[in-house]
Amino acid sequence: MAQQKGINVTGHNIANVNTPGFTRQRVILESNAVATTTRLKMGLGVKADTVIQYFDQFTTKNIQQKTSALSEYESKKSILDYLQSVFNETSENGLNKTFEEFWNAWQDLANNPVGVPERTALLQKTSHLCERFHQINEDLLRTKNEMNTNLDVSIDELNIFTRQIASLNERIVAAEASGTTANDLRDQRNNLIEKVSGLIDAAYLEEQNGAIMVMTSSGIALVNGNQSWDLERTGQEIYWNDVPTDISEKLSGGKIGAWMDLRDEIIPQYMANLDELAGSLIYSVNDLHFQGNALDGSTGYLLFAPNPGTTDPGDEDDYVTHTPALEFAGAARYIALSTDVERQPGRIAAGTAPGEPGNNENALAIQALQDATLLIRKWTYQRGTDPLSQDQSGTLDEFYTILAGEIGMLVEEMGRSQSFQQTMINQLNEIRDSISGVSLDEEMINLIKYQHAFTAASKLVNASDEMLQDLLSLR
Amino acid sequence: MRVSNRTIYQSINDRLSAIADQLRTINEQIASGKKINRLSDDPIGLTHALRLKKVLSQMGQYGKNVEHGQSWLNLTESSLQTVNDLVIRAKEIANQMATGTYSGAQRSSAAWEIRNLMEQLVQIGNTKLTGRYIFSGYQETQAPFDRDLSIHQAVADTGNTYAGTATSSGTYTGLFSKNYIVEITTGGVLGTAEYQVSEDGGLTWGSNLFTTDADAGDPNPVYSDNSLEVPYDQGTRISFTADTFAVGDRFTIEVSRYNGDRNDMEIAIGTSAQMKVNLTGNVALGEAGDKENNILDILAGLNHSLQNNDITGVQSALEELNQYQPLVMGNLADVGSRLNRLEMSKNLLSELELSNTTRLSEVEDVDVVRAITDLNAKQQIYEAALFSATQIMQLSLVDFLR
Repeated sequence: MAQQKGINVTGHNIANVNTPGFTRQRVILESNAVATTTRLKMGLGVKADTVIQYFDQFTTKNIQQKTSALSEYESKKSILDYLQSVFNETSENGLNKTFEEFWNAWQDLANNPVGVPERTALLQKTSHLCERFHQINEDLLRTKNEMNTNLDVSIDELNIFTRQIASLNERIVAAEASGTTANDLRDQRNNLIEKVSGLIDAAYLEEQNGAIMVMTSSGIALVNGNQSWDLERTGQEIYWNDVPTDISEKLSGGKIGAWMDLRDEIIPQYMANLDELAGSLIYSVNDLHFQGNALDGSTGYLLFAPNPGTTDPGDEDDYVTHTPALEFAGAARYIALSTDVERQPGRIAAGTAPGEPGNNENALAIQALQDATLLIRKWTYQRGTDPLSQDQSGTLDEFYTILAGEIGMLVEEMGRSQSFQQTMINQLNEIRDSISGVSLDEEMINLIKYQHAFTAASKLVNASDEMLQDLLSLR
Repeated sequence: MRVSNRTIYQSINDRLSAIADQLRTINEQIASGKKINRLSDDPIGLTHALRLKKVLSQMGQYGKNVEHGQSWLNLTESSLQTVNDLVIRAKEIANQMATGTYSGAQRSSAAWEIRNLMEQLVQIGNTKLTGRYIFSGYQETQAPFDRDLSIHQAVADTGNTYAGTATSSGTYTGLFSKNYIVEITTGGVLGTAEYQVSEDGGLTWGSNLFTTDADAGDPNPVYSDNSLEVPYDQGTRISFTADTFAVGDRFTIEVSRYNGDRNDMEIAIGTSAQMKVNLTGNVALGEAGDKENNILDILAGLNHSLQNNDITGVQSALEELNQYQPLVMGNLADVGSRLNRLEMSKNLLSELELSNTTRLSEVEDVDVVRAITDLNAKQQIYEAALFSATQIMQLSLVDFLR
């Protein structure tokens, strides 16, 4: 009977050879208590004592932790991979290229300030540049908003998983009250815990009765015993158990951490810096353009439309009197040709004096902006704190090149961290599997072992049967 | 170490997909010819490449600018060459006519040829390139030279305290271009103030005149319309709206054939390097009021002397022509040296372009030989891995049990 149980467990192991998270089991056989009759001590055979799991607590915990970091990097990388294609500077129509064309159009105009084709081309290049800014800005904004959808999905998943863990807790406690181990239920729960780790950085505590407590690394309880608490996103905030206090700052790691880092840190930082770039361009070009003279000698025109929010559109003088400490938020969105010059190429101010149609001094001054060292604010966003800005001196192109380079470096770093975590997890998995995994060869050997024992035991029954027959046939 | 089945399959999977990913990267590089296909492939290299691309784009534009400048200067040079030829022809005529052997009739027919030369000079002065007058400074939409002298609008000096407006009028009666300057020597309103007039842009001054005296015999009449004749004998007038003059206030009236201005047309030929590509008409053919250096004035004088059969006049015109010729040569040398400079920048630009293109290609382009060698190496590894995987996967104790 005991050997049959062994064969059963072996069968169970073989059947689950490909089940993720399955922990191999083994029957512990124990010889029966010795019966002492007369002077001889005699063994009374075997009994199947317990079925145990080959389970390595330490490695499993480690895997759960690393899973959280891995899925954070994976999620960030997948989004950043998309963002770097938005910046797309390796191709021939990146923002850098449109910038070059914009400056070159000014030089063409400087070569022929009375030329209408040059003026029209400049207007086209300018609106092309504006469109490029809009496009990047919109892509960033859309990606940022998508993060909320992603958050919803991940939070829903988390809620489902924590509920399942709570119900498994209940069943495990019930099953183990009798002293046996609920091996397969524990496997299921470990699987769920790994999934929770993929969503958020969480800590687990096994209680005496076998239930597991789950809380975030900052101590927000998700599961305790047979009870679980839901998270919920409302607007930009995340609430716990319907308590209307934002706890998003306390959540990190896993997919949820990644989505929030992208939504509140990485993407807003790029948007803010893109705004600074657009704003500095608008400001520095408009400043010169406003003072210059159009083909007919008139003056006071803007090339780029002023900020519709902070500037009174009627008071175009704002652009000349403003100090560089200007508010540029949203500049990448509102950058556009001003109504002054739209469809009126003659109003492009190439000259510096009225009545001199061949005057190209302003065009020369504006094209020289491409190599001019400007002070441009660079923003750094950190989730949970106010964004910081620092003035950086450099040309507009350099500023942008640094932005593009940074996103590339971020993706590269994410990729490296991801593959590092992946390698760690693979190794840990190997270690875990070397303890918990099923080896078919081993199971076959066990099968034969139990089979032989069973056959031998059968033979014993046979022998004793024959002996009994012999005894009965005595008369 | 105990090896479970899951470990075997998982590790085969991981390793194969890692090699497949490397193969994909190499394939992408070979297919695109670029080492950097997305920002993260090599962020540092990419920023380097972006900088180089920007420099290259600028070089291309500067190259275009230089060519533009060359076309302007080339045309300027050939125009000046023609001016020189015309001056030589005028000298020949003056030389012939300065001797006493020619009759008055012959001189007046020579005068006709001189007028012809003047016409040609005006035409050269009005040379156009793609619809733009190259000798008129910033007034490139307006023909810079007229056949006749005209009185230009009076210009008040920028430092003047006089706040009224000055306008000029009149019919000029002189033969040569003039650059009149009216300078106030005693302040006050019109009628109280005193002034002096220079006919040559301020080099020499006439006597002090009163704006008050309206006597017919007095050489400084004040007219009822608040205008002065400057000087009273040459037909040019300047009128003022009533206001107070201060000592040192100046007004300039140019009487010339030149309608352009004195602005230099500059183009960008490098980062913060600009170059003048034009020559304004006042330099090319002479400044108003500067008779010895103004070829049209010299020829007008010669024409006048020939018509009047004035041999001494012709002789002095010949002397003036002799002195004028070095000016044309000077202008030609100036234009020529600027053309040289442009040629040098052009060569420099194309050299820089070449070296930058090479550097860009080093940063950005795939070394195809190396990429294909890499590809072959990876391919072999991949095949070997596939082979060993199939071998390992077939091994099982199950197969050996009956």
